[in-house]
Amino acid sequence: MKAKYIVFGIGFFLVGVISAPQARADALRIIVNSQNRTKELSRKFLADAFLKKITFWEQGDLIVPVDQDSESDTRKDFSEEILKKPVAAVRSYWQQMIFSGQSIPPVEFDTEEQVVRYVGSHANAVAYVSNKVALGSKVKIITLK
Amino acid sequence: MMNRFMNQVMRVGLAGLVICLSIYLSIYLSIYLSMQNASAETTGVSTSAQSPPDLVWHGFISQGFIKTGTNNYLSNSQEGSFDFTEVGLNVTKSLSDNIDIGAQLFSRKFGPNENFNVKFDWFYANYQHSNWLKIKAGRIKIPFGLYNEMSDIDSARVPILLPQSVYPSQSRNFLLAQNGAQVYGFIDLGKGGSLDYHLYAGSINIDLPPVTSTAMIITQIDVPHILGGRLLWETPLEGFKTAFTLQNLDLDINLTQLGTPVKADLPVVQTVFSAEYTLRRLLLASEYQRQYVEITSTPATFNSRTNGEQYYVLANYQLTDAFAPGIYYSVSTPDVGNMVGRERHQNDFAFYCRYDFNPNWLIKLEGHLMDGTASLKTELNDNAPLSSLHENWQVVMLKTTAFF
Repeated sequence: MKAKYIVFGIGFFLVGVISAPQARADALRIIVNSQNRTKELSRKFLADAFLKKITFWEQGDLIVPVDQDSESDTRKDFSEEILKKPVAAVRSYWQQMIFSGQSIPPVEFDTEEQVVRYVGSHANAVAYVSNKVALGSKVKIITLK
Repeated sequence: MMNRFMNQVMRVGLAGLVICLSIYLSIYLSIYLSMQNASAETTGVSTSAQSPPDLVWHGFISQGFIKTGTNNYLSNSQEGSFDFTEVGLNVTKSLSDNIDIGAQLFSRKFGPNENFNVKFDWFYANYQHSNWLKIKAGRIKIPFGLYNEMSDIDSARVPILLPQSVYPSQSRNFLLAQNGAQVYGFIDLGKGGSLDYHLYAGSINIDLPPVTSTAMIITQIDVPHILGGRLLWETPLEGFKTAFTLQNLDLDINLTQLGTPVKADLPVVQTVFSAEYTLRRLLLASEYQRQYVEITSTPATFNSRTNGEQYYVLANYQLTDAFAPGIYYSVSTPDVGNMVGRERHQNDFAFYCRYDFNPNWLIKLEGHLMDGTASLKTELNDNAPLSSLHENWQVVMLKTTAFF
């Protein structure tokens, strides 16, 4: 009887694993304020900055990561390609940080235009956007090492 | 049972009202601060990291249901119990780019022992000197193992109950938070990955458990010191991290047994080896704990020495953005020197799933197949000895949580 339940439990789990959806891989652009002296970043630094494990730029200023709405396709791509976790896992990570008093998630905006505007007006901000949005002169693109 | 259910509904309703008012207040404050910030942004480039709103409110409310076939577990679960409610509200504020403060109020109904007493779950002042050196003081969650800091945060995990061998809900008062200080930081090792370290020291305030027996009454429990550290290595293998935790605490207990005062001293040493591997939507984790307890009492009624062993293996899979199933197998042996009898082990095979209706509301369903009675409480089971309770038993749990 017990073995039947265990087989059911494992089967229940495997069905989930086998029918997994695939991640998309659209183009992402990493942007910072045009006054920021940083020219390139490693993917790991960027991931650690967005998870607030790293909180300071090399020159000593506080990093201000800027996120997009959790339903945004660009955020899903960023999450899977840079953070290497699905958005749901990142949301859970922030729930842990919030309710254990460790940290709060990055500021979040509904549209990419708002993200660009925010980065353009905050010297220490870093964000990601798709290639569909116009950037203007107040932000610059950072290359990933 | 209907009366108990209605009382529970009333209490949850009251807690819900408090949370709703808090949500209203937080939305109002957020809008007000956002408007202030928006007007500030039009003035040019800001070098401050802390806008928009730096006064941030979050909260949650959970309601669970537990049913066991035989044996009462965590509450009077054989009848089916709703004594499984949690409410929390926190606020954090940045005072500068380097200093922030925060506090969380928490209340829960958990079995017969906790009845919506509101307490500070945590409060702190945090100073960030650099990525590798940060200092926090106040009442701070203990970074014990991989998941202790999330042990009462339903929205942060897939299962309802974390593996109870390493994270026992019934020991929340001893394990969750300490009053003291913590030094921590993050060190980038380049191609060697990164190190995350926490060193902490302080004491723990413990609420006295309710009197459940006339034969033995605990009159005072103190943890005058707790000292520990966790070193976590994020290895160069993407998604794989491993950690080691060492913790020492002293429990001083005063009690009376059949009218005779007894004083007991319990130094406890705990070590935990942890490993977690995340491969995109799959999460695998395992932890192994040893727990050494030596009881010295006056008179020597309770003198003993135990060497406990606890471990688990766990797998979760994020099937869709909203749905995640998982399983774990958890084993607890209170004393490896004496393993004979059903009351000296607890094996737990759990399967569970989580569904998120939206980013602020989730529901979970969970089943446990239990072998052994070591995790049961005699006071929940008519003071019957653990050796007389059913060895094989099942648990079904349902829980929903709303949070913002």
